[in-house]
Amino acid sequence: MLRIYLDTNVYYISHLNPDTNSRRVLKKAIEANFAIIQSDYLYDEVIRLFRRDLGKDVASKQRLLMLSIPHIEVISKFEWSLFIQQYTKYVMDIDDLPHICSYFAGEASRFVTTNRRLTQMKVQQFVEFRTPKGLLDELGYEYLDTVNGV
Amino acid sequence: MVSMHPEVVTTRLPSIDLKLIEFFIKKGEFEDRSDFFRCAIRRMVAELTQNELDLFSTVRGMDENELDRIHKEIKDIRREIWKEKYAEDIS
Repeated sequence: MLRIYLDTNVYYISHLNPDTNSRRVLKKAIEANFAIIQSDYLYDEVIRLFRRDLGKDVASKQRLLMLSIPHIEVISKFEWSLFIQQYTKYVMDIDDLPHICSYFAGEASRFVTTNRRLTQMKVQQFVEFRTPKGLLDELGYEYLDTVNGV
Repeated sequence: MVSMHPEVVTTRLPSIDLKLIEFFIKKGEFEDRSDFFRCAIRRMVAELTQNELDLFSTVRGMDENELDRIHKEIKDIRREIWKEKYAEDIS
């Protein structure tokens, strides 16, 4: 089963607009079409973002949604931090590293993000970045034509 | 993700359902009945939760400006969390 890391922006955009490829990717994950790699750092980020922008109730429901995806693997700080030194020189901002390192620690084979800045870093030589649209297209699912493939 | 201390539940199912479940297990879609039930239950919980979440959602259009705003907001939070919880340990 394909193992995929979804960036924070995919969860957020999926919530903000159901007519997006981000929602379609999440729906495919809920239907157990692939395994989703998550991390403690990702939870922190998603929950803080949802709480700040949409309130506590929505944030806790979002957490439940993430935890109930059928095939998930959660990478801890102990695991992702083992990869930090190896990849530090390939990213511009160190605060992006936990996501990249969780991708490696979770042996994911796709990193789905809507953020082009991330995909232009030197680390792209080691990470299979995809937009939500790019992932759906690659796997043969229907996709929408949206701004930046979100 | 499977709990370290799973609880056993008993349920009655029509035999046709069990035969269908066994069919998919034999096909290799699931390891065993427990794997099937866990997957089915989590999928149902996720779908119901998504429906609940959608009740709170006011659809926002996704243009370049909105995307820039989203990425900036996430970046600010990412920076905060890194500084608060991880920078000291890892840098």
